[in-house]
Amino acid sequence: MPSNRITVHFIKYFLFCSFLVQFSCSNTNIIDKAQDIHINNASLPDSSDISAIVDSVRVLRLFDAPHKALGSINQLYVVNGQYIAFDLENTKRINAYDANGKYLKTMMENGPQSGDGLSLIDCYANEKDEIIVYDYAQMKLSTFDSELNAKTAIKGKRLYHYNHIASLPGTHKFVGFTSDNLTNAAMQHQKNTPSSVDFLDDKLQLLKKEFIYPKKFDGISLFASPKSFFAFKDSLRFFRFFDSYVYSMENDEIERRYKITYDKGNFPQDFLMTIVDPHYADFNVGNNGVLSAKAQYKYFNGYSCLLNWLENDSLAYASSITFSNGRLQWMYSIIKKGKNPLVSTSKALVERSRFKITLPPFDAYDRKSKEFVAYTTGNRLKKYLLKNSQLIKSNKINDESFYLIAVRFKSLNATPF
Amino acid sequence: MSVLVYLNFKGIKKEKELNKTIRNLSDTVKYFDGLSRYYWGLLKFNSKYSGYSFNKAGDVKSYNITEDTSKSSPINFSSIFKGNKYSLVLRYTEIGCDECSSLTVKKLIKLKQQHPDLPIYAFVDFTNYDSYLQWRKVGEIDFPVFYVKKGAFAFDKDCSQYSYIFTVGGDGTASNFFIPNSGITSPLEDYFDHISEKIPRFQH
Repeated sequence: MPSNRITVHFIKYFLFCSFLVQFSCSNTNIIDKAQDIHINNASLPDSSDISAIVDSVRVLRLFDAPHKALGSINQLYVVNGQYIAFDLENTKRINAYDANGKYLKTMMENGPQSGDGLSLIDCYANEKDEIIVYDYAQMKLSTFDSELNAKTAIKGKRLYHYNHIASLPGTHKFVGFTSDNLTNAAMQHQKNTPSSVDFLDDKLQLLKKEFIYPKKFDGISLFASPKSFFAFKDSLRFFRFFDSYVYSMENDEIERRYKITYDKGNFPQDFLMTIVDPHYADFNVGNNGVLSAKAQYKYFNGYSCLLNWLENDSLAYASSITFSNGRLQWMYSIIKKGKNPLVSTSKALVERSRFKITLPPFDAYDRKSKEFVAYTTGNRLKKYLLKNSQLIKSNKINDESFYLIAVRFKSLNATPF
Repeated sequence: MSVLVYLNFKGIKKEKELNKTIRNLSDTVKYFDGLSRYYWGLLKFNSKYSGYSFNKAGDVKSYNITEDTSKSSPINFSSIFKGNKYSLVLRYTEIGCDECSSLTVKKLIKLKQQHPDLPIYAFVDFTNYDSYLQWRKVGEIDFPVFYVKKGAFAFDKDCSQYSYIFTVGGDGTASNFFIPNSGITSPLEDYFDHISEKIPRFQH
């Protein structure tokens, strides 16, 4: 009997070792080429007039089809002149609209039909204008081409869980980001090395783990932004809550591209050790979202971090938040790129001269028209419009509908900032 | 050695099968435990509040937000049901199970199509006007919606995290309380069948 036990242990150890060999992952050194972007949030103005740099503003209504309406928009993309809106919060539906806002189709939604999702959680538009839809419960990626036709569906063998998944430009690989890696590390048979970012092959098998953190913080749920990836030319921009950097990913390389520093409230890069660890019991609350949120509001009070990042050749847009006495204070920055980036930050960006509108937060960038695009409801649009705005007449606005506000900026090289 | 390895593999296989059976049994026990706790909760909630009289209770401040979007004129609550032989009420809370309330709304809309004269009301506790608009749009709700502050109904205290439905008779008495659960849908079907059977008696 004892020899039996030894043999069992040996076999288990062998199998374990073979898993280690099979899934052994290197942690790439992250290249540091970060350019500083300084956001002045010490004396944050209520609004800043950006009329001087705005070229055009358009308002567009999204017309929903009966029984296919969206109850919220949590992610927005512009692909080949078409608008893709994902309602993660209410209907779990991804709708596509043409350039005039006319409903084209529901690309995917949760449901019992074949082709429906089980638990759609993320949508991403890559540099080829393909849409990738991530079904969390099935570890499945459905890809649609730029004409919105279904192209491929890949189902991973293992149910790794991520908040967001993007394709890696110029490869057939994918990158997954998770803010809570409890199940992934166990399924990767690497419990001691949980990671925030995983590189996956074209069959969604693990290739490499990055942003590895101490095991004790595994399973601690932290807020994650609605998006973490943005396709910029041939690279993939990556950003996440609580991290000062905007990263650039190309093939196997990760580079720190921008470092966002705030006048006050910078999260320390090792915030898990310096902020979370001293209050570990308050954060270690399993799946209790309410307690987890309470702990974050309490101990992150006064800290600021990046929420969304968009970029073109000459300009970048950053939305940030500050945890402030149980609430979130939002701020928006327009960044003129260059050797010494110039930044204008305020609680609201306003165009007062020609279009007369307070701009909602931008969520997408249209590479074709070079417009930054925001969404809002009709009810809120009425409040965003300033007096005498000719953009749209208030009585033409439907409170229940969603509207897009597309803004093109002037070439900043020729414009004083 | 090879015999030992064979025996061990056989042992591991058996252990795996046993573990699978244990997991299945444990899941079954958990399911039935959840089921019995749900039924017990329903029974308790219904028996506690059935027979509650809106006429005798103090007035509840409500606003018809389908018409009065700015909530400027409060409505005398008992007047809403006045003259109705039978009314069906959805108490909707913003938090809690979205799927449960959305299934119930679908059922209510279907019932309304079958019985156009049946008065159906929704009493909601939205704190955000946009959220209310989107809820009404996505649910394709065409019956009157009233705003009643969370906790204003006596029943809210025992069911603050979930939406629920009940009926109000011609004498202003509430009964047939039911809390929908999207994980266990057959009681919801039964509930609506039961309500549907009752309606003709009240309408004629």
